[in-house]
Amino acid sequence: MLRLSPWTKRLLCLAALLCLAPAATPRFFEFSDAPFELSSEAKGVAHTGSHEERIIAALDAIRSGNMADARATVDALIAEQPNYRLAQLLRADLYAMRVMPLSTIGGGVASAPSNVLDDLRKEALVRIAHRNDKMDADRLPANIVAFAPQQKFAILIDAATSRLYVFANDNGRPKRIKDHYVTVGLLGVDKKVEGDQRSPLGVYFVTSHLPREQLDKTYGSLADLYGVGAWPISYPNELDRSQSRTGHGIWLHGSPAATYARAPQASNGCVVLTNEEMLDVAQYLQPGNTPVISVPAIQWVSATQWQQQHNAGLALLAQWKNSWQALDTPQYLNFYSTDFRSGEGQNLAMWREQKTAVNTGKTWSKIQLEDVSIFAAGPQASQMVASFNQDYRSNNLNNRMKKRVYWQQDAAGWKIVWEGNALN
Amino acid sequence: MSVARITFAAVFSVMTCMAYAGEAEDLQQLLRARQFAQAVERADKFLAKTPKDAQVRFLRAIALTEMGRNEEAIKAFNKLSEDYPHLPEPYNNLAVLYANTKQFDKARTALQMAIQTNPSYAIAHENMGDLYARLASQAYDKALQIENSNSQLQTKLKLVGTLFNPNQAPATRVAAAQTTTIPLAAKVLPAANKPQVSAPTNIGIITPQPTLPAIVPTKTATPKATATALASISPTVAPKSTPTATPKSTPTTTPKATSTPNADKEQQQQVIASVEDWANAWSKQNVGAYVNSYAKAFKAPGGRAAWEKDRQSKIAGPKSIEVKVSRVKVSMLDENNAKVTLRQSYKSDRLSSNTTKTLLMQKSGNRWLILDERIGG
Repeated sequence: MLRLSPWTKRLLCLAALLCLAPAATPRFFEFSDAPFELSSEAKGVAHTGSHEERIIAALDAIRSGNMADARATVDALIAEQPNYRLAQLLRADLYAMRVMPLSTIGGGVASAPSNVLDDLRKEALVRIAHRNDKMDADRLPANIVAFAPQQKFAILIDAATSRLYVFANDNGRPKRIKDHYVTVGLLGVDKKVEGDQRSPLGVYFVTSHLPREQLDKTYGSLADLYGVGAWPISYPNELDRSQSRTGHGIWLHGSPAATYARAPQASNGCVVLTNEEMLDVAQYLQPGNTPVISVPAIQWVSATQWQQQHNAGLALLAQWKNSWQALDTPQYLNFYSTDFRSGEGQNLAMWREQKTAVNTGKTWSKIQLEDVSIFAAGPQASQMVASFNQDYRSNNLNNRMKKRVYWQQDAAGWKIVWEGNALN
Repeated sequence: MSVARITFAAVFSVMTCMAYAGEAEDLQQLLRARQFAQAVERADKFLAKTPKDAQVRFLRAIALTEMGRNEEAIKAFNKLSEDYPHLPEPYNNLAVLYANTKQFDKARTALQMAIQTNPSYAIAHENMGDLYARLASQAYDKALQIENSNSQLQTKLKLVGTLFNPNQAPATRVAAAQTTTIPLAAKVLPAANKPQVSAPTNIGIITPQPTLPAIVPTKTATPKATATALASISPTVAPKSTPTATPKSTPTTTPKATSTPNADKEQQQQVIASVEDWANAWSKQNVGAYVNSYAKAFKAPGGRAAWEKDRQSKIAGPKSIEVKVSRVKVSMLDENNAKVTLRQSYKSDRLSSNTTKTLLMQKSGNRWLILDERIGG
């Protein structure tokens, strides 16, 4: 039996008491904290919607730091569309950003041709920019001035935002149906010569439909470039030809099998959609009828403004027709630009001479314009293209023709720069 | 009698140990109760008597952080990391504070230091990942030409609630500690501080380990352990590892008024040329020229020979290296000494990083040699 001194006993008691005091209790038994788990593997929620809505949702998720959702969204998208390169790029970034700071979209890609990355960045940029452009649903395109009754739809291509719009003819007023991301020429728009890798700007019409089977027969393995099929448009149009613009084979078409979407500027001049979107747009295309209006930027206006421009466009055409019908030669000739060319290649002087001579032989004339359509292209919709069936009767001549008149707006107002037979 | 003496000594030592534990424990209870002002007050009182206590200083800094007194908290953590450069926790929390105040470069440097001191420190790695995610979000906004739209940022960096063990050598430390999470967005806006107060915090419980012998890290052992571990474990740290570098207050020498501005300019150009030579040697993977850019007096981490060997493998190793320096600022400390801050962008086939560096350079003939190299501005 160990004998302890009274002091020792007291000290032991004190120690025991201290040990019982909660504030001073040394935690002899709590050595292990919970094992540390990396939370970056958290399961995210995949967004739903169209492919574009989902890629935008993924971009937004990354921008807001919600990487798990971004990963889930991109993974689901890639499972469906393994060839969606932008989605693949985001996936690469999502992996890379765990271990390194990214300087930009695609910053996590170790080595890739910079033009490929630039293209994908541009695709992301135009898709997001379009989404962020809070489009007022009431806005109408001034580029569609007047539908002809038989035209059910019109296609409008906005080069500035890489967007293709489908508008329906809703009792003469344009009604927005849908819009899609679109690829134009590698070097942009305003085609001038064959092989310049630009897409044309102007008013065109769908001329025919080349189904994939037909393309396969004609082009063999090269037909893959056009995806689900092609819808040629009427480039070069009458004005393009008079301006000596060259080139051919400008089509709306789909995408190659190995590519979901192409860069905003990537084609040789064609207007390219994803295959699913091309098929979707195809249901609105009537060869020989549907206009395809390609503009640097759509001129959006309010419904009231649209109505005014619609009325003004039709009124202008009526004034021209009336002065012609009234045999008021000076007023009639006043509608023509100094740059005027006729379908037969006459300049303004020759035109003036001919029309003056013809009009002096007339005692009366009656002109009717039917199936009038007017579409506007060019910067600020400064070029108007009127197409119509012209029924001309006079004391010495009757004829019917499908006609096209190109108007250009300048300081002096609207002037005719080309007039003649419509080629399509 | 001798038994009584020994018992007395033993009991006394246990009591002091308890008193120590009691202070930190009490502070943590105050933190848990979100009584931050009281915690700071109490810590201040304690530190007046025991100014060196790392744990109490750490908890005080946490209280400051929770109160939103960011500048003081940054100062406190900075001082802690200077005094205890082998502890990763102060660096980690410093990084959280920097990230909260959108100083992302500094946050990154601090996290790199945390990882350098303890390559297996999981929280710092995770915070680094979160920081990278934050930087990626920023990069995406920029690439998509969207400004200031990150209204609902979900990135969070985790604040460490406790020093795991201030006395243990970093290499043997198990990186585990409970953490508290501060939402980035909430901290940036002072108005958003309110709802955060009601959120429960999860400050880690201190676990003193009296049964383990306290290992005091020796000066030579620490950097070696981290430097070797670095290469294999963490590809994210800056390629030029300076494990012993502790951000000290910058030398306060003022430029001499005697030197004419023109002479100064000439000198500065010489300094810049030397810095460029150094970067070029690095880019060309010319180890000899690179090593010769450092002064004899350069305090090489782990000794000159070990350092040279380490540099040899890091510089000659990658297939290609591209080092670019930008934003080079030279301030002449005196005729023979200059301080250079620069932004270093390092790119190799293995990793790329951007780092702010401070070089102290000493004149040697026509050249200027690096006397000291630190990460951070």
